[in-house]
Amino acid sequence: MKRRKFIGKNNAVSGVIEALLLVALVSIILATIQLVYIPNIMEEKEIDHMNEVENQFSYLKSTLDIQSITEKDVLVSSVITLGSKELPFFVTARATGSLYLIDETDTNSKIIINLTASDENIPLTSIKYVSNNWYCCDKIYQNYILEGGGIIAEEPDETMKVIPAITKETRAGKIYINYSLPVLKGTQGKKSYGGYKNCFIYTNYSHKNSTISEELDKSFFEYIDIVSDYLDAWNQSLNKFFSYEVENNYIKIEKYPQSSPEFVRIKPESKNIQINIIPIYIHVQIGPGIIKT
Amino acid sequence: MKKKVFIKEKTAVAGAIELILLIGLFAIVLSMIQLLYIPEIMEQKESDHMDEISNQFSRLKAMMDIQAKENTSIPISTLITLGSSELPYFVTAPAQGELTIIGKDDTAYEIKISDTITYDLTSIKYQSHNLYFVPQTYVLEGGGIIIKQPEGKSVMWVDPSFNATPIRDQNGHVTNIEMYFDIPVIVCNEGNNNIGGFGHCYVRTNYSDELSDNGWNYWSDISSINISTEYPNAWYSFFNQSFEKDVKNNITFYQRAKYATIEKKQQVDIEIDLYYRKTCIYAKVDSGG
Repeated sequence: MKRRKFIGKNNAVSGVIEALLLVALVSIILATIQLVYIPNIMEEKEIDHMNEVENQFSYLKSTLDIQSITEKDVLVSSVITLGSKELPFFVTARATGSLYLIDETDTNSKIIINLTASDENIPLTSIKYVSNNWYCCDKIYQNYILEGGGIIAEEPDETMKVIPAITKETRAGKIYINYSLPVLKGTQGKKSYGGYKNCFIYTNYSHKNSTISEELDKSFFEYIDIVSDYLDAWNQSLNKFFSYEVENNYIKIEKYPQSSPEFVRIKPESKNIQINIIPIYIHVQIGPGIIKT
Repeated sequence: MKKKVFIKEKTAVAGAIELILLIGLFAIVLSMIQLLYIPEIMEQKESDHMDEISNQFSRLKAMMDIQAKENTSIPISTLITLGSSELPYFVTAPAQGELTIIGKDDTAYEIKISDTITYDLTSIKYQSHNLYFVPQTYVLEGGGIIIKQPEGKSVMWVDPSFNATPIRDQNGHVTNIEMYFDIPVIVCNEGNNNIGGFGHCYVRTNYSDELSDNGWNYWSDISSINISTEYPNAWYSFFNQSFEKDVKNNITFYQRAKYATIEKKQQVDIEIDLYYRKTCIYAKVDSGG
């Protein structure tokens, strides 16, 4: 039997090679896009989202500030975008996030006014956003915390983006520190939420306690301790805010004890401190729907 | 020695040419994207940022208004986004911006009532250094928000707390004009009052009970209000748009290179009564961490 020859000439080979080369070229381009370009796009997307969260936290803070100023029991909703979506067609991961309310019953953070006669304890409550990013983990702050009225950005390190509603004044040999401290009150079942969509935080003014007004006497070694999970943020921001008073040795602000810090201590050095803290109670609910309080 | 012939036939040439043409096409497409599409995207990005700035400035004004109204010294921080970032991989540049607080000790401008009482005209100014979209300047001055572009006149985008109301008798004739002017005066806190870049910054404001007027002051039959400003057209157009006909019939207003003025008309026999109040707001710019 005669054997059939399928390939007699080489004339059509170029087309086949060309097709193979084209397929290879498309594959290389797609692989380059997937491996190099897409991670960069996703990183940009996550950075944009974290910037949006910072923006939304500053709006949330000003909402709490307005409620503290006006003292009106009006429910206001603030939105936080929990995550960012993946890209269609390409292999990408969705960034998610979680919001937590750490209210007066859950928190271990507090302000302690340490007096020779007795101590005053005021809870330091917070709203915490924890992101679950995949691409921008070391490029931008990953968590935002609204604690004691200040906005703290956390991871990789920590910093106080916006200092709480503290004002200072040096008068008649004393340093007056006024602090409008929002104390957040939660409702069971409405203290956390997660996902990638928008999440609403409902806040309304509850009441204002009488001002805690104490004079810290330098000769009795009295002081204020701020117990928090974010000691670096508090220490740096307070030292920056009271830079004039610290440089002139009127007061001293430092993490304490120095070997393994547990709190930030503010103590009078050459001038007494008159501290006035106004605790302003605000109801907070996180997630869809509102439970009437 | 026999010369080797590498290309004997031209059978595969078409494929090679096609590949070269494809790479050329790819390069042309990339160039087109870089030269035509990217500038459009960047312009849109910068335009979006300008919209964001206008929102943030209106929020800053609202915060200062609330603080002045409630007479409370609780400080509030308002976020301002200074610039917008570049696009990855393509040849683009980030847009930068600059924020300056011009407080009462730094300003060269003032509000003068009947050539007697003078108040400092202070401002918070954001200047964009856009590369694709038209650079804009946002100024919160005298309680109003002014927008200015390099080629063009300044515009009062949000009105200040200034109004004029004609008071009529039983027959409907205008007897006098009552004007209300809430004059915010910005006082710079210690520290830096200027910041530039493309990240975020915060403007921290708080009301000063000590420096502000305690309630409204009253002055009957004023002769003029003179506002010396870098943006006279914005103030002039604001007067022109906000004053009703009966007010315009009894007063005259005009602008010059560095000021805008309201005056009582010589031939009319009515009084202009002014209620005015100075509200002092401490302001400080903070880089946020």
